Amino acid sequence: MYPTQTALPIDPRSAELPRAREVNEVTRAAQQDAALSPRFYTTDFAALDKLDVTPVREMWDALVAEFRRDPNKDHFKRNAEFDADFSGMDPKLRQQFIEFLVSSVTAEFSGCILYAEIKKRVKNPDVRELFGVMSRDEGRHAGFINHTLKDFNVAVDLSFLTKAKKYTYFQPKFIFYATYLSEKIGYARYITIFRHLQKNPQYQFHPIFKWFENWCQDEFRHGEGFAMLMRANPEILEGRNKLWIRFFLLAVFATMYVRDHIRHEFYEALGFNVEDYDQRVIKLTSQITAQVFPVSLPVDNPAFWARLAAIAANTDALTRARERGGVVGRLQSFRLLASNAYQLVRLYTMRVTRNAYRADPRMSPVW
Amino acid sequence: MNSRTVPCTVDLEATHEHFHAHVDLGDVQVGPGDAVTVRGLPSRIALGEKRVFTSQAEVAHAGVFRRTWTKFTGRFGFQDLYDVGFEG
Repeated sequence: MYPTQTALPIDPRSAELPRAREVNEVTRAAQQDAALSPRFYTTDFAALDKLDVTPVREMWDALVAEFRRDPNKDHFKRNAEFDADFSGMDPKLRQQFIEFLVSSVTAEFSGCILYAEIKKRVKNPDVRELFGVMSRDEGRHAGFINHTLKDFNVAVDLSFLTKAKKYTYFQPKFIFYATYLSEKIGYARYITIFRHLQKNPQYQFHPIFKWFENWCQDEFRHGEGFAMLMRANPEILEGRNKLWIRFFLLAVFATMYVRDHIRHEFYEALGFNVEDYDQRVIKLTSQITAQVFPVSLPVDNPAFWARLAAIAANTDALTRARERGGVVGRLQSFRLLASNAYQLVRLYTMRVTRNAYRADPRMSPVW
Repeated sequence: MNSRTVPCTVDLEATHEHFHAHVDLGDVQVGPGDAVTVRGLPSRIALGEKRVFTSQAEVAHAGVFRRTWTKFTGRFGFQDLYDVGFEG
């Protein structure tokens, strides 16, 4: 998880990844360090204990049975393709790929810790079991990525373990909106990359992408778990909470959009146009989240994309203004931040689509 | 802050199969604004390593003010939350 300063991605520092140290050609073979800095959370565990899945019991039990079956148990095995020599990879692409792996391992590792912590603290047997299996999956993914990082001579630095861990707090509903969206958008990202590389294998510069198809089924399943929890406790999806749902949808979409546009070269190396990739991922996520969210953002409206593009351009200009410094740089920064805040407010107030209530909210990962 | 030292169980694994770092403080409840420092932890784990051991943790419980402040300000760090499932 990435420490951030601002609530919404109006500041490029908030989009900063935990970068592996810069390398050049000469030091390419030397070991790099990538520091993980997960956050530690507490929440209202008594409220989690009170969650009741009785209204969706049948669907819940079917989902838990799938988790217990653990369809991806044997998926994360390496084959000989991983032993190939990647030293000939273009140094710039190599660095971008490492950054991609580092941010992925950070996400998986942080998920593993968060879910394990919740499992440890709650007594409700349904919630305990769900978070236990999700933590299992995330730790498994993290192990797979960590091994790939080792191939690239990148060591994950866990100095955070030796420091004081400060515990922050989120209400359970915020954890649900954010992690539900995060899991579903994770699925959409992985499956979009996988399908694209199926059609365009010339861009498959590393075998790890071949694992994405089954891998992202885990993310999808985790999202289904959160969807069931929210549906079983419908106050999370009603009334003023709809405004929070809109907020989280926008925050997650805008963050992803800005981050990806900063790292457009990586997506180009995969043969994507970053704008096209982000539109596909966000539209797919929007379609999936209609399973339980009562509202969706207007992702088919060109004005929605024009405003996101303006935020990405401002964020890029902001980096240059900060580098420039001085009075002019500061004035430019202020104007760009104000412009981003304005665009986000306009995005937030755009007319949303109301989603019909689905008696059976379940979805299958068919994309 | 009111601080105390408690025993804990550390579970570290960085194998191909699983990568995690968990600390179990037993019955000690950690709340918003508290800080936990675990002694004897390494700053890295080699690939293939798996260790479960007991250690000591210093748990600093937050006062009423810090607890309330953490609960209030926690919501502004929500961006960290949705990094659990998608890479940035």
